[in-house]
Amino acid sequence: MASITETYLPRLSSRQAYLDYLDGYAVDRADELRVTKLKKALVKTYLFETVAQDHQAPDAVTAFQDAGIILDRVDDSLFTARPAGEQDIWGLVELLERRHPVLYTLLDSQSAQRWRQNIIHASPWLDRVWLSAPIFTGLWEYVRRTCSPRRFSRLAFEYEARFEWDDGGESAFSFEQEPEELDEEIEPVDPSDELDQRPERRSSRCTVVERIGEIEARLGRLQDVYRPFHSITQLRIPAPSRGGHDFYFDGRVTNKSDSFLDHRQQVAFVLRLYRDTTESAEQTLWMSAERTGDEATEAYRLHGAPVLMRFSEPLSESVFQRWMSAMFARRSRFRLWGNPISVGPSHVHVYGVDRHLWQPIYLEFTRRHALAVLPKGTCGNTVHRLVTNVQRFVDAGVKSWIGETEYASVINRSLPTTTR
Amino acid sequence: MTAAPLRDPIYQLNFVLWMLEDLPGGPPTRPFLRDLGYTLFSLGGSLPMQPEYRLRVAEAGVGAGQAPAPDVLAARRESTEFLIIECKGGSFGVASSNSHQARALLVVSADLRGPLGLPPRPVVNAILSYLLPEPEPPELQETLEELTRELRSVGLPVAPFSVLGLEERPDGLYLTDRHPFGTLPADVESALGDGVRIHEIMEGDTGRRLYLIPWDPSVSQAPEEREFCQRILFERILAEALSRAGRALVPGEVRLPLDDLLDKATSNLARYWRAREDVKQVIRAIRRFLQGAIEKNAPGLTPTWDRGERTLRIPLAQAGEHAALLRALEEAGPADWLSGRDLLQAELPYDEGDL
Repeated sequence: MASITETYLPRLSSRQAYLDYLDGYAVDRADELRVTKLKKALVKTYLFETVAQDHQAPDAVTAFQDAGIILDRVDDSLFTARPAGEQDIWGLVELLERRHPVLYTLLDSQSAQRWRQNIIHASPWLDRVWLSAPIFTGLWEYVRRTCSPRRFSRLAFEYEARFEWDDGGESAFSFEQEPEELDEEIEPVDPSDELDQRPERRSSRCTVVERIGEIEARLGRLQDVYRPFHSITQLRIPAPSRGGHDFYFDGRVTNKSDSFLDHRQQVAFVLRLYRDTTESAEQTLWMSAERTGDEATEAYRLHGAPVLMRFSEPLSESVFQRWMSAMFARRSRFRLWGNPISVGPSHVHVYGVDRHLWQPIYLEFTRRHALAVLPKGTCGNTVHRLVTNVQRFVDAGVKSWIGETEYASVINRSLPTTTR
Repeated sequence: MTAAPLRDPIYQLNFVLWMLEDLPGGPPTRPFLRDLGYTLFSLGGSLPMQPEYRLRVAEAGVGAGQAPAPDVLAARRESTEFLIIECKGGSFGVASSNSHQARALLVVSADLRGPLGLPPRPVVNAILSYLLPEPEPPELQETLEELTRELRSVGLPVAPFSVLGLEERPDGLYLTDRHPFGTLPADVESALGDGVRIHEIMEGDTGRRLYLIPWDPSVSQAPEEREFCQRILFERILAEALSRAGRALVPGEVRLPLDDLLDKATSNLARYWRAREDVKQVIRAIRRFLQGAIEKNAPGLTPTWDRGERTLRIPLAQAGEHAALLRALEEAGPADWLSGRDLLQAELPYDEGDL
């Protein structure tokens, strides 16, 4: 096992020198992967959201610095990164997109994720990029159209009916007993040799590594017969020569190709898709009123549309109640705050806040739908996170709309036309 | 709270706004007016009466206002066809003060080119529609017919009108039209049929969608509805305050400018509230609520009041204070604080001259 000192970056003089270093490192790792003797960490990339820039939000560099990260400039958009008090270079931060900086690091997986987690927790201006299942579906379409059907790809599906279990009639549910989000983000330990005392509930985790043509031929049918196959949480975009780039739902990307330059290009491509989708959603969704007319004829116009999530079938009463009691708990993975207003036995309104970026969000829940209204300024990233978590934990078959347009269509519109 | 409050003007206004929302087809809400091509043109905008009609109104001694402000103005077909919607809790007679506004609306809506500042082109069609709960529409229908006869008798033009009903049925909330065919555009009447379901209701849920407009102090409401709307307003204010507090950097200072919080919490509509004294009263209440919550739940913090900026300032020296502030606000509990309190007659703030 490589020691952590081997996973720091050297001090180099230019962008080209760093790119050459990471490219060469990628070639070495690909060779080790090929002979299954991987001993050193791969290049890991973490995608961040910094909120649309407005007069209140700091730029991406300032956001990192406020989170206790020392950034030393390599050029206008590339910086070496280290935690305050450390001398070694832990990674590189690149401003690939104005609102989406990325962090490249060679740290081992657990250290890297903990570092990313600490950065996000230390700054109210930084969040992960949340790649929802419809975004993965759009990316899968890109893979299908750009790669030979004989190449291999990798798709992972995850669904956990978190609020559905046979509790023997007891209702002493407390979300406080759930593990913190931090724990979930670290590579899970296989629990098979431990006594699991949690209530039984439906849970599906499945990874498919297969030729692209085979997946294409079967994926639709699988999704038709088993809804958790809609909940895509990981996708490998094949590299031109060998290996590929593994994208995860929470904005992690691992380079398992022999080219860092290709890795960087794929990351930039996905970020552009994400940015276009997010900004398109924000333009549609932001709810605000503006004045029209003069003093004598003043009136106002209301702009904005809601996000609607329709469940594939009505949630049971017990699932709905458990979800609502857990949704706004301090340690809930939905990271929302609000005082639920019960307007009916299974009908809840919440005028609350998204705890990730501390922005207001208004929500309505019934057993058949969830509806969100975003006041002007609230980051569209919130929508991706909500859709991702509802699909993973509440209903794998949920369908979402941004205004009157299906969420999946908004994503498809953001894909380059040649891939549609 | 289960039944939809069909007589409440704020509820009715939000009901109309949801009919104009950008939504997919199907449940839970059918954007009925949007589906027919209507979009929101303005909310609460006043329509100054054409000068020549003012003269005729004055000469004939007709009781009519000079600049009626209907609740909603919707338009379609590139603003050549307007639908004016006025929400009412119940019917009214010719002698009612509401008839003053109704006469003005009927006259002004006959040609909206002038009142809306539209270019000179053929007469712009508008239909005045009142919205009120069933079974009241037929009574109002008679009133409007009588007002129409009265206005025509003195040579004033009158816009066509309709009376739409709101009705709760077991499976949802319906929009109805008891008016004889011919007033509303054919496609609208056809779509309305015997009533169209706007909000679908399943066991356990209700016909209340999220309130896009939380409250307006100038609107008269039943006490329980006023309490409900004020709670929404204060939940939204608290969300705005938490949003600012959550994004604070430590060490530093959290600034809570109360006018701005109120604007954001009302989707910027508070700046158009007609009575400025209402705004001052609500700002006083917000200060009492937020400052009281911080002082009670985080006694180590020392919020100060910036009178000139109407801003609460909370200095934060370390991360523990930041966490304490967030927890204090999260535990503020608007429902309890508002219980039994009348916002517009709130007790004086800490210092009478503060605001």
